[in-house]
Amino acid sequence: MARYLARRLLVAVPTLLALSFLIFLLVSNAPGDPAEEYARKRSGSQEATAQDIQRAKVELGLDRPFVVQYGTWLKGMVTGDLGESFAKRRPVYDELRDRLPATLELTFASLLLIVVVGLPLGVLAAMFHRHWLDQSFRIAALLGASIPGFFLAYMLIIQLATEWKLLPVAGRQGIDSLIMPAIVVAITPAAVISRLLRASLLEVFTEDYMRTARSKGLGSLRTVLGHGLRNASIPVVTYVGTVLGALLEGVVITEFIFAWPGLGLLTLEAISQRDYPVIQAAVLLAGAIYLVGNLVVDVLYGVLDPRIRLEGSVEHV
Amino acid sequence: MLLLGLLAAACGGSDSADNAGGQTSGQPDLNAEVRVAANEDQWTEGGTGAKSYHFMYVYNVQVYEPLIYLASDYTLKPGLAERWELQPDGKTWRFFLRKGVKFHDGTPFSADDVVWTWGVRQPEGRTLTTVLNTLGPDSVKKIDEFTVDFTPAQTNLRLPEQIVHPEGAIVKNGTHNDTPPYAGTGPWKYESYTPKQTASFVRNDDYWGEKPQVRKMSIRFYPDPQTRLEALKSGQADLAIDLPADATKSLSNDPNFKVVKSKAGRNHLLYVNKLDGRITQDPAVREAVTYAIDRQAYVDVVLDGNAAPGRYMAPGSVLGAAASTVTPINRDLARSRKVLDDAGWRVGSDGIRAKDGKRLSLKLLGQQEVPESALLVIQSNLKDVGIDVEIKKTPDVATRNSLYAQGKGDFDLDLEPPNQNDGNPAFLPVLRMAARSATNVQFAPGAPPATPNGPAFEAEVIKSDTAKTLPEVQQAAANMMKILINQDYLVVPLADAFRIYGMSKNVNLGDPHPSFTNQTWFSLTMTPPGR
Repeated sequence: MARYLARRLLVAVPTLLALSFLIFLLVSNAPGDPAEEYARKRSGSQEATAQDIQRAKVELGLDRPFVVQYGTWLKGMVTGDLGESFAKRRPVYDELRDRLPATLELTFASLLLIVVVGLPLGVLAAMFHRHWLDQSFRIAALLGASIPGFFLAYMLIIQLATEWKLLPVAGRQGIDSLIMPAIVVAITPAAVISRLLRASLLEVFTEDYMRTARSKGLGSLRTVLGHGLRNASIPVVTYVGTVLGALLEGVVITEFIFAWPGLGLLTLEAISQRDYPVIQAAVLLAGAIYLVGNLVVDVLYGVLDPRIRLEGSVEHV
Repeated sequence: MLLLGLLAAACGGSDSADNAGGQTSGQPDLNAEVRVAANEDQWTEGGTGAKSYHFMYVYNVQVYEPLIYLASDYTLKPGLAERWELQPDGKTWRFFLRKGVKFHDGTPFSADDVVWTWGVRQPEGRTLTTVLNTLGPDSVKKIDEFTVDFTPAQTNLRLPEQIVHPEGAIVKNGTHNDTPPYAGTGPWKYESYTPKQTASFVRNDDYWGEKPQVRKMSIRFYPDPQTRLEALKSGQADLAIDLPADATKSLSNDPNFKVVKSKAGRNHLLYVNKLDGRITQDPAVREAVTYAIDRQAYVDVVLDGNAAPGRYMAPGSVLGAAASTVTPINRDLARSRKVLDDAGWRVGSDGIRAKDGKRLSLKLLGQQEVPESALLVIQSNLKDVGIDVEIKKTPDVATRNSLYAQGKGDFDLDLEPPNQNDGNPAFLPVLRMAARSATNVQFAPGAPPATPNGPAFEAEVIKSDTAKTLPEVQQAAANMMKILINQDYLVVPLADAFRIYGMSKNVNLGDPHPSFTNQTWFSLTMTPPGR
């Protein structure tokens, strides 16, 4: 296991390096000049003179060749120096540290909902295959997967906060305020997972070991939970691994509507201000978390199905 | 059930009588806490990193206060300066400061604080209003404990009208607005602040002037205007600021709420690019654009009726009697078409005009805060006279700024909604159009001409700087607008928009300011619920 992990981590290094280069390249070539924005803010004016802009370029290190800028930035990333926000003149590390807890809180609450809602629905739908319950879950999943997040957000606010006065409209103010944004973030992944699990379980149900388990007199639910679920989980785990990165960075609209002070809003602000160091660090952080998520998924494959060798090949049985 | 409830909520509406702007009865509750749903916490946007920057500016809660206040009718009202007068040299403004005023930490206020704020702090790069960027460390001098002279490097008789901006509010000698304990002299004392989430302030019972009528103001930041509206409707806020225009109807129809609108304070303007090579360099095209716009439709569709049809470059009230000299422009399609016909622009088979093989197609720029509907109204209006419009909506300020600067002004029309946050009647025309202004709208500076809008315009700029009476400067400002709007067709006024505040029926704002930056909260009152 240790060897496998070490090898995967080694593979992650060039991936991260390539990602970092891509991020740096894309951000550096985005429309709008950060030196101009910086100079404008420094002068407190809507326009900045060519001299102001040149001074800002020197101050921000943007007058140096691209490769030198990238090298300096990369060295900072490796040594833990994320640089300083152009817009706020404070360390990017502090910016991320301030915002990360809110985003992690929302991400984990959403993941919890995805698991708590998605898995039971998938299991029940498979167990009651072609039953009206299965049909109802199918319709619910279709709705969940297709409803736009912003629409659901407003509907929840209007109903649960404005009409029924059960929850805070928005803002990060305790566990109550987490409920609506978590539902909005979780609903599509939960719907997808329930359908993935259903389909995977239906396939597993036809396997010999499931028939054997049932012929031994095991109850239906016990058979599914004890033998089927584990073997049917691989596509679900793969999906969860891929949505993790999206959950961390893809909640911009949700954070905006619910005034949730997380990384999504920070990234949005940074983009509008051409705050390169913040954008680069936030996107790289999301990329790194995505890679870690996938690494965890790979490890889980082996745990869920011992036939999948950690060395990477599948043992044919 | 939840889904049904959600759908019902989506389809349902409130039904109640119109009570917009109504006053509540009963005695104000002096111990009340007013919860305010505010827009996005923007304190970092100035790049100052100053936490209390928005206590003095963005939300202007008057923890700090200026030497002079700008009243809601755009007149000047004494603040920390009791009076001010121009000295015989014709350049120096002398301010006589209020005695007996104390900062919230008990330190007495004096001339040293004014010199520190305006004389010393500004060169350190701290954000202060840039209109006064002619001031240096030697420009502000202490005469005695309660008298200060301001001597700008160049004659500026508009100085008292300019220093009303809360950016220039006074901080204590030797301190900064980003340093705790955020002690100003104002009617509200800082209590707490959580970035991007909340800020709270309590009444300063030792305030020198009219004390606030409520004990506490708690602000919660909601970047999304729709969420802000729901915070009010749910009862989680008592007052919501900067509401979307279409919110007024639903609130006005609900007996639990009311809508208070200020007089016009924000002007939706269309700036026309007249640089060489642009189609809009042709005066006929500019005139045709001016007369093709249906201002009433713009007000109805874009602002849901919460504006007056555009006539000026600034709120008409700042121009006083001179306002009548700016001619209102009404939609006149016949004139618009004729002027294009006369100039040789012929209608093609697709309904769009062309001349010498060149299509009459204009690029319309809309910055991020301009509603999509605004751009569509302009596009539709101009199509009626055979002008094609390509819309370019910029996603953020940086993209828009990059189009403005460095010779990249590849557009013909730019829609902007600037605010009049200054007491100077000529503030907006000078800021956006004067040759000397760093923020003038020439779209692609490069090598701008010395008088981009002509010598007559520049002469009015000088007059506005040196006018000794308010009517004189008002007339100069009106003359500038006449040149830009009625004569050269370089600015097309679209709408003079009102500021919209929504509140519970037991809250009174009292004095809604057309400039949100200058809104004061002295007259905010709240009666106990149910009275």
